[in-house]
Amino acid sequence: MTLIQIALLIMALAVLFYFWRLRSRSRDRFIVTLISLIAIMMILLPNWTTQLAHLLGVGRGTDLLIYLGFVAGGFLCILFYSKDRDIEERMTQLARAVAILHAKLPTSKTNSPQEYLAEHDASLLPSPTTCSLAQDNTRPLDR
Amino acid sequence: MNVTVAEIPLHEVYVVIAAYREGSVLATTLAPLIASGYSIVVVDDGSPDNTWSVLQNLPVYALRHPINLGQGAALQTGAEFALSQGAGFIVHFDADGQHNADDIPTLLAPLVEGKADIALGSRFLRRDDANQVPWKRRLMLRTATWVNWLFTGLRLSDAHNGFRAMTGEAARQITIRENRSAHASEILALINRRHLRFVECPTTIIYTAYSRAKGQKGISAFDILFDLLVRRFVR
Repeated sequence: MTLIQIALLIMALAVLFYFWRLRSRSRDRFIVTLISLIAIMMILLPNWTTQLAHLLGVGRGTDLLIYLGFVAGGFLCILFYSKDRDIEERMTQLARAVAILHAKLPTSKTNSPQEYLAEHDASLLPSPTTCSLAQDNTRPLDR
Repeated sequence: MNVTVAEIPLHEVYVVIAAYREGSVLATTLAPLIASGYSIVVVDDGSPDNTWSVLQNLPVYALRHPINLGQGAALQTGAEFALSQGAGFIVHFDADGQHNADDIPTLLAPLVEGKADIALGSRFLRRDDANQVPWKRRLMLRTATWVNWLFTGLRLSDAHNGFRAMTGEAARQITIRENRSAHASEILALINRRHLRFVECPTTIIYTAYSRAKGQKGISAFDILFDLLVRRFVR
């Protein structure tokens, strides 16, 4: 086994380890395991990649990997973009809710919504002492 | 039975203004609106300047985004708030003072008369107004109207004119999801999709040194185009 094979193997196993130990979503695990196994096979049996490339009409196995890499990169771009939009949309909803909740009314001379509400309808205010989490909402970081 | 603009209660007309770093001109922009008796909702889009403190002393509804989100998001926030207050009509108005408060009845007239659900202001319906627009701007806007036509199916004389009025019912159907400048095109697309009746009304744009400096740079057209393009394919 050559040095590069050992280095690549370690990296592939590290990725596998990370997803098995630290990520809980089974769909992620499945996809990563599949890709890692293919990667390990390609590292250990370079000729296998070349044969596959020839089969598809590509000159070298390395070239095949470059092409596949581009496709994967483009796919990841779209994935992250759509994830980004999703996050932005949730953030917008949150900011909007905060803005509407703290709206200053034209008749009010006070600055804070708390002062305003206290003046008009104290029942709308949550009392600070009861402010606690009703249940434990914590869950793993990934979703 | 015909109703005219003069007969509708002005406090049911909610003028929604998105303000980002407009502290220096906001009071001037708001004065004629306040004097006219409209209900005014100003959404401070997380401005770092004194926009929020200026609003405290004015008889307007003032909302503040805790973070900067963009003009489209601010208008949507303002509209949702206005609807929750029972707004009969919603008017979008620019904070930088380039719109004329006297044009609001012009926009409201077709809505009140039941001829349209939404009225869009246009700088290009009267020769005098069109001549106010610098030629570079005119060229860009002309291109933008074509792009809008392509993307939204609505062929208009003006693009990205932030001055519009709609009925409360129409506002409920127009939910802006484009946080930034692409919201103007998104509104047109929604008009088309929801089969809302629209008209274009002549409005005057007051180009001041301030509004010109603050206004969109030509390059932002590419950002808008990007948002429009990508939004079509990626959800």
